[in-house]
Amino acid sequence: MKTLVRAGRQVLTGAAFVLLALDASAQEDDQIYHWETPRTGWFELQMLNAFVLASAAPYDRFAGAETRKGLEQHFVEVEYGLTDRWSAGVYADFELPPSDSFRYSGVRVESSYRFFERYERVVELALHAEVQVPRPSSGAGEELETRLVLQRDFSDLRVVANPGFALPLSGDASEGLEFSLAAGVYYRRFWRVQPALEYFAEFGSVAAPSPASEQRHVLYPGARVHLAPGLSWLLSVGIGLNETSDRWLLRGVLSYEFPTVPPADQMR
Amino acid sequence: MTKPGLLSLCVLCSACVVRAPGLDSGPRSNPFGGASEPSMPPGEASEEATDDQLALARDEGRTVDAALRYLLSREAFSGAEVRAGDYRVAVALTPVAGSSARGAGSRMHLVVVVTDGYDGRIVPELTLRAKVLDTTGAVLAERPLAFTWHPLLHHYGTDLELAKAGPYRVQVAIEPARMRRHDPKNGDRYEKPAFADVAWLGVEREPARIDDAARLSFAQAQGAAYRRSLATMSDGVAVDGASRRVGDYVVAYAVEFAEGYWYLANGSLKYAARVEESAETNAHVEVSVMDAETGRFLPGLAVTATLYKDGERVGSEREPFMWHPWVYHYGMNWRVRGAGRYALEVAFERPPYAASASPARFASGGRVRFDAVDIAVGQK
Repeated sequence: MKTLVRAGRQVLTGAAFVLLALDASAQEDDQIYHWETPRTGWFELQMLNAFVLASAAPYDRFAGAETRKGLEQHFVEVEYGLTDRWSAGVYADFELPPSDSFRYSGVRVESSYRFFERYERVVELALHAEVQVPRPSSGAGEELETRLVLQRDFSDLRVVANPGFALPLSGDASEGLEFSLAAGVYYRRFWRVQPALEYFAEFGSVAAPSPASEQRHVLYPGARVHLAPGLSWLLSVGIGLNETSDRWLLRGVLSYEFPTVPPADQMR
Repeated sequence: MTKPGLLSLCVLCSACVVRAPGLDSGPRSNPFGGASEPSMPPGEASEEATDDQLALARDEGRTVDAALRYLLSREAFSGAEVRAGDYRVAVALTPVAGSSARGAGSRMHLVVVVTDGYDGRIVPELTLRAKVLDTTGAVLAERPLAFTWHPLLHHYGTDLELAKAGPYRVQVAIEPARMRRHDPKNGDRYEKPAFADVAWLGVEREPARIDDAARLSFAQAQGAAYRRSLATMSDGVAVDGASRRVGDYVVAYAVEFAEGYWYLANGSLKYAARVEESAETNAHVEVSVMDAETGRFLPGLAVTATLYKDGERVGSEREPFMWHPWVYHYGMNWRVRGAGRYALEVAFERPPYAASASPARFASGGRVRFDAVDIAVGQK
């Protein structure tokens, strides 16, 4: 009963975060997955906000705008530790297209599994998979995305790479499997502020990669700021490295991990 | 007291006195229902403890239980055991060393053994208070209980000189534990205060003569169980570890990656996730101090560790007691310069309970240096 009450409280907390996100301003789904997952019974709430400051890239979702300049994206995620290694979560995606109104843009269901123990192998290894179900009116199709999580700590420096493959499940699936890469370097010497450099690239179809000029390459220098234990905010500026990428972006990822249902209580 | 009153009391006593020989069936419910509601603390495989390692803790708990049974059946006037909160609380009255007097005004020793409700190990570093009442409810004594070194079984205790003859009712209050607890899953325990109300303890029974050889055997069994856990940590889990005898003590160290822990803040347990969120600390230095004769862990010490790298002092840290799901130790997360070979110096003062130890031991503290300590850096 106690557990049910707590679970109810968590759902309400999650809903509150969704509402919060509705009022927040700005951003893009560039996100790097680390090896760590929430422990059994622990939750992680995450809100990603992106704001495209300057861009000549075409806006291809919904209707009414030619470029992505001025686009705001907001993603709210609730992730739950099913076991110490395995987590499941759900995203609600929202965006505010240029010169338009705020709208719900889709949902994503995700799961992560981490292998081995920390420092047991040369790199920490995890697998992340998510199914994206965009709102039909957005014009985008459903997609299955899988990412490998490769992570290694070099003393105070953490290096993470997420090579990923996306498979269209509906709509125009002619391009087949697409390849992307997300990678980040984090200086974790101090707890309060941790400088970070993240890189995101989309190479197009595996069978026929896009020419370099049509690929997407964005670099995000920034920093993770720990506001309290369990609560952090990764703030960064996105710099497009070619013409087809957004030129300038602002991005924030607010994360809160908490043991609302302490594992010990699950046993009582 | 009127005759019917006296009769009622006799009936009550005959129903409620829990005599030591009857304790072989384990803890029983308190006839007064005065104990905190029992709860089973967690005991689940986790990042800090495998099932096999948790079994080591339960093995140690069984040796404690065997010693407790022996104490209750052979050395105590009387005793009883109840479950209270996350604990099992055993209360007994024993003669003080060298005396068998037990009438009103004679000295006796109040023994309170607090063990973990899951694994049965003695829970050290607690703050306890006991109240002894007579059959009318009058308080005969009320005082804090100090951790007591004992040749058979370490416990919380105090000597009493009670003005009235028994039977006695003993109420024990346990404050929320202040020690840090490792393990995100299993460290979440001892958060709430606990209370045990035990009645009636009499002093009619004549305890058997003290058998020093039997005591030593029970104590060594406890020590051997602890040493097995320590060896598993040192040889199979830690990056490095070793032990060395110094005077009446054996001092051991183990080095691991920095790791999180639970701590009590404003009356509730919080998990120190900060350790895992940065490389602010990158090593965990564990120290264990044992009684050389029996191998039992010695809690309540003021332990300081100092690290040296290439002859240069890296720093000194006070190492507080750390509850651990299968091997108690003193420990602290450190920030060291990097992986490599260090020297570790461990110093500790004489235990606060040394003066009451009988036969006399622990005349002074200890200091020991380990010259080749290999440290790997990271976060667990």
